[in-house]
Parts: sequence; C-alpha cells; structure tokens
Amino acid sequence: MRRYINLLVILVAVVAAIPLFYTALAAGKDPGLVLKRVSGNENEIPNVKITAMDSQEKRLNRMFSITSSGSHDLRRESSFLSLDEDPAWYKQYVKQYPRYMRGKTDQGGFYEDKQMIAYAEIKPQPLHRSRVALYVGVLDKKTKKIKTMKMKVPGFTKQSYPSVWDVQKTGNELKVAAGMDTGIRVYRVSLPEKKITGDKVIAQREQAGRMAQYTQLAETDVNKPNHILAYQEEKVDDDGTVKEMTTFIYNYHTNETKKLRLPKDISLRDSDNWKFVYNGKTVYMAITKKNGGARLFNL
Amino acid sequence: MKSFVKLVNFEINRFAKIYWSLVAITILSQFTSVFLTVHCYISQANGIVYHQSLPTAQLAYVKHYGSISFIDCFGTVWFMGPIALCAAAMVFYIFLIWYRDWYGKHTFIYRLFMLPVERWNLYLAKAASILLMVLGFIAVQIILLPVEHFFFNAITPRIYRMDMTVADAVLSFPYFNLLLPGAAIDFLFHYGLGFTVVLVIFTAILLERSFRMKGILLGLLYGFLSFVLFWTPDFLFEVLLPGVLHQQELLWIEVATTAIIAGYSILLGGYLIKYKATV
Amino acid sequence: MIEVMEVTKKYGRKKVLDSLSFTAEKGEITCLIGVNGTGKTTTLKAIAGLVPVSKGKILIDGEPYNKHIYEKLAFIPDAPIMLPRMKIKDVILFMRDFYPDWNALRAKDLFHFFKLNENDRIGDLSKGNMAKVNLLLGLSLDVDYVLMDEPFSGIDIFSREQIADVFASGLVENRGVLITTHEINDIEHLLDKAVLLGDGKVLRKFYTEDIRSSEGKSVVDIMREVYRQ
Repeated sequence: MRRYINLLVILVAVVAAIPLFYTALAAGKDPGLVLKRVSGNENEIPNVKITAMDSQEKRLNRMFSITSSGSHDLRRESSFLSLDEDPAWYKQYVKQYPRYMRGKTDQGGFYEDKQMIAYAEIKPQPLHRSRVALYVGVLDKKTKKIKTMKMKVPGFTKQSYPSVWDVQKTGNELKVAAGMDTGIRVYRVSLPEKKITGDKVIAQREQAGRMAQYTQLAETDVNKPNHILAYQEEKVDDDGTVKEMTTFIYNYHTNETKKLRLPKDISLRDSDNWKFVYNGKTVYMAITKKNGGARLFNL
Repeated sequence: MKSFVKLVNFEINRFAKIYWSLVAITILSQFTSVFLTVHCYISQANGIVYHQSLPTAQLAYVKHYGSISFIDCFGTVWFMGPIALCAAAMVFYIFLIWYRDWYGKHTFIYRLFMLPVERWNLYLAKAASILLMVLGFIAVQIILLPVEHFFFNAITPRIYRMDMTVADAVLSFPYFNLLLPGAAIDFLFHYGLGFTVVLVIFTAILLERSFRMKGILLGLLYGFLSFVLFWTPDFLFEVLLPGVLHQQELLWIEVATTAIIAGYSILLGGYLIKYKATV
Repeated sequence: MIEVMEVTKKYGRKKVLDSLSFTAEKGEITCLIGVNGTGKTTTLKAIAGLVPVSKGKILIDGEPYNKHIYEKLAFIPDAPIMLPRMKIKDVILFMRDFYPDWNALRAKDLFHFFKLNENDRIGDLSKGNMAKVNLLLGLSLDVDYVLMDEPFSGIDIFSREQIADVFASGLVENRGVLITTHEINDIEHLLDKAVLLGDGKVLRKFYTEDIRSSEGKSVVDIMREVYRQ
C-alpha cells in the first residue's frame, strides 16, 4: 500500500476537491431574483432578459441575468453552452422549424404574421465574395412549404456594405429596408413573382452631407408586423463628435418619411444618456438622470 | 487493468519528488503572496493614516484609496509564478516522460517493452499519469484557496477588507478562468481538449521513435493534420457556410471531432508502440 | 522452439540482417557467434520483440509476437536497463510486482550467490555486479527461453567464473538459452549448438557435439575456418 501512496493522495485530492468546488459554485449560481408582473401582457415576458450588476460598497460587483425563469450569476455560466444568447422567439423558431432556420442568423431580417415567416438577408455570394445578393426565404406556417429567392441588389456598390435592417409585409409584397454606407433603401419584393419590383431611397448620405451616418432605432419586437421604420441621422465632426441628430420614421404603407421633434429642453452634449426604442406605432425616448431613473418621452 | 494501475503508479512515483516539490513551492509562495500583499497595504495605510492624522482615519483611507481584497493577492508573481512553473514543468514532462526512457542514463525502455502487459498500456499509463498530475495540481490549488482565504481574513483588519467568498474571488480573476472555469462543463471541455493535445503529442513522439528522422516529419505532419481536423468544422460552418448549423450543434460536432482525434491518436499510438517503435 | 525464418532487418538502407534463418530449441544452449557488427545483438532484440523486423517471421513455440512472449522469454542485455536511482531491493520488488512468473526463492538464492547488497543503487554498480544483477533478473523468471547478450563482456575473470557457474548449476536446465559472446572459451563446453553469422547472414550452423565427434574440431576451430575465408 505504501508504494501507492502518491497515486492515492493525488486521486483522493482530485476526486474530492474538483467536484466539491463545482458543487459549491453551482450552489451560489442563483441570486434568487425573479421578474414579477406589475401590469401588462404576461406573454411578452419570455422575451425579456435583463442583464444587471449588483454593486455595493466593500463588496465585489456581480453581473447576473434575470429572465422569467429565474436569475443566475453570469460568471458561473458556461461559455460554451451559453452560446445561445438569442431571444426566446428565435429559439422557438429554431425548435419549431429547424430545417427552415438553417443559415438564418440575422434577427433583424425576420418577419412573422399569422400565415408565414419571412427572412431576408443581403450577403456575399459564396464563390464571388465581391458580389452580393438579396436572399429571401418564406415559410408557410400551415403547409410548412419553403420558398427561396435570390436576387441582385440594385444600388449596391463596393462601398455600400448593405445589411437588412427590417422586413415588413404589405399585401403580397415584402418590404426590405436595407441600411448601407450610402444611406437607406427599401426594396419591394413581389412574393408571387419572386423578384424585386421596386426600390426607394429613403435616406441618402450624399444629400445629408459627407459625415452623415444612419442607424436604426431598437425595435421592441423585431419579427412582428410593424407600420414604421424608425432611424436616426447623425452628422459628425472630423473628430467624431455628434453635431446634429435627427430622428425619422418611414411609413411602409404610405411611403412617407417624417421627421420627429425631440424634447426642447435637452442638449446634444447629453446624447450618450439617450435611449430610443419603437414599437408598431410609437417611438419612445428615455433620458437617464444623473442620480438614477429616467425621463420617458413619447415622440 | 491491474497492470495499467501498476504502470500509472510507477510513472507517478518516478516524478513524485519533483511533483511534491512543486506543490511545496506553490504553497510557500502563495502564502508569501498573501502575507506580502496584506503587509504592503497595511504599511501604506498606516503610513498615510499616521501622516494625515485623520479622525476616522482608517475609514477615510479606505474611502479614498479603496479596500484590499483577496483578489489582490492573486495578481502577484508570488501567487501566479508557481502556477506558471507547474504548468511549464508539465509541458516539459509531456516530452520527457518518453525521452527519458530512451535517453536516460540507462535505457529503461527495454524493461518497459519487455513487461508482460499489452504495450499500449504503456502509452495509456503515461497519458493517464500526466492527466492525473495536472488535475492533482488543480486539486491542490482548490484546497489551498480557502486556507489562504482564511489566512488573509485572519491577518487583514476588517475595516480594510472587502469581503467575498472564495468562489467570487476565483470567478473575478481572469487567469483563474483558464484553470478553473465557472461551469463544470467548461472544465470538462478545457481539460478534455488539453488531454487530447497530450495524446496527439504522444503519438507524434512515437512516430519519431518508430521512424527516427522521417518520424520527426511524420510527427509534425500528424500534429498539423490533427490541428486542421479540429478546426475544420469551425471553418466550414462559421466561415464557408455560416448559420447552416446552430451553435449548439457546432459545439457538439467540435466535441465529437476532439473525441475522434483522441481516439485515433490512441489507436495509432498503440499500433506504433506495439509494432513499430524500436529501442 | 524459437524459430527465426528469413528475417531481414534494415536500418535505413543498411541491411543488418539478411534472410536470417535458424532455430533454438528448448533445453539447448545455442550460441550466436560473429565478429562485431554481424547482427548478433539485433537478432536477440528482434526475437525479444524490441526491434521490429523488415521482413520474415519470428515464432516462439509456434506463436508470433504478442504480450505473452514475456511469460515465455527473458532477455538479459549487456547494459543496465533498470533505473539508476533504484536500489537492488526496489528492482526486485518491481520485478515481483509486474511479472507473475517471478520466482522469489530463486532470486533470493542468486542474490546470495552473487553476494550483492540490496541497498546498492543500480547506477553505482560496477560492470561485473551489473551483469550479475541482469542475470539475476533474467534467471529468476520462470520462462522457457533466456536470451543473453554478451553476459561476459568487460567483466573481471572472477565474476566471469561466477556467471559461468550459473550455467553449470542447473538454473538453465530445461530452458532454451540463446547467447551471444566473444568469450567462447568460457562456455564452449556448455554449448549445444553454434550459429555463425557474417554480414547478417548465417554462414554456418552446427551441433558442437557432432562437430567434435565427426571432425574432431572445436567451435573456435570452425570459427577460424569460416571467418578466415
């Protein structure tokens, strides 16, 4: 037995210490926080995930996430298994329509209504990386049939770097809003004809000025039907300071673009504290206050 | 099985003196780190508190300069140095565990080859002993941490201290994430991959031992091909065909690929040591 | 029976063994003879499974190489093969631990016969004592065949006599012994068979008793004839 002492000591240490360590780690995983409904539609909660930091004096900061199924310390999450940072609706699509969902990674490119799910993406063609195409995949939810389309992208140049911002449906057409370096275009894709039947430039850098850049505002539900596309035009200095910021909404049905007026008592200097989000009808603006909390505006 | 255990035991006993010396260095050095870190902080605090004659001196010091935490002891050469030393020793020993049997003062490989055991037990025993010794170092670190934490708390006045659990300290120090990832499954993935690398190196060494000069090239080629195979699913499904596989599916394919690499390394290594390796 | 059948061994382009064929029977002492570099040691290593052959077959009691050959065969090399830091008692424990057919009683007898000190480290032993330890390790295994590579090489006359006594003592009785040596005179009287090698080939093989009775010649006489041609 004495000859085996080294092996036994190492074995016992390994078998005891490592599992014990991870048991202790797992035990402290859940800080016990839950999402409680105060008012509103409970069905929207599965999509909500709050990342929070617990910061107290003389205590180590902790980062954790809170969903409707509970909370856990982010540091104790597997970096391999928590690859799925995707929202609940996306995971549901993957689960329900695995074949359709293959290759569809851009969440902004989805649209869902009662009859169908559509997905649009502008990406380089496999063997001609300098050329891009608009790929559209439509799933009929009832028959499970999948229609795929591949179309040339009008208005594309090598400097464009286009990407799909939003997909909506009006009648038998998909409206695909694409952000590019040069501005924003909305393509009309006819579903019966499987081709682009028109496109409209709704914002153009050439007109706005050399240093203009465009960003889409965050949507509450990226895959749900929506009448509007909300975006921001920022004009920046040579050193990157925002000189001018304008918020627009484009109506998919009327094809009209409207400029939104921001509250009067705010300064562009505080634009880092501004947060915008929009749903089907309204654009919301939140301005975080210095001592916590936020002012909310309905634009 | 008995022969395998005897061989593992023998391999571990051969390295035992160096192994336990490294453990002893780790213990001494890490406790020194805790002591020096706390001593340094308190000396500084006492110096400033004394000079400024602040009424609620210590509290004010902490508010201005910050508390000391157990994590502060980690980021020193005294603490991380022995960990690096143990890691370097094990990397070196992955090669030495074979070459010492051929090029040591006596050619012990004769005796090993003439043992009445399946020859691939020699291969597996060396791999198992490397794995056990690495995990042993990890276990020693896990055992040391609460003891060091207790020592830290004992020598640090409460007023200066930021309290935390050992787990919190470990999870908050980036370099520890490599050794002790936050989730058990990550631990298995990390060390499973590491063990596979050891197996690939072992097989490459046996290629060299079987074919000498040609074997060096074969060994390097083997290592390179294993590396390419490991990255192929990632390259295929992240670069060439992005999104075709869901992330979880890609992960499990990588796990399967790693298992395949480990499997054929063992098979090839076993074949080489039985039929091709020469004394 | 050990059967070496058309064995060829190459190191790179150099052919060390060239279609070598001979047998060594159980109960006989066979000597492989040849000048330096004729492949004697390589032959023993190949039989002991320590060196793979390029062509040909080696069978031990009709079976090709497998792990069980070390239950039938022991190889006693001319160099130390145990760890230098090990003491003789540790080596004996090691052998007892790994070899099911280790004969502890015989090991004890040989240990006392050779007058060894159990606390001596292998690395500190003289060449003579090292040879004795190797012999002890090989002969304490209950195996059918013992291969010995230059057991008398570089050791003093008294140690050589002790080792030669081992042959005469009956410890190798009923076993097949395959030995290589330059010191023919020490054991010629014990040999049953001789195989003369040259350039990796068998030049001549014969039973010593037959040569003595038919031609009246010794092994050394035959060696002179063969190697001076």
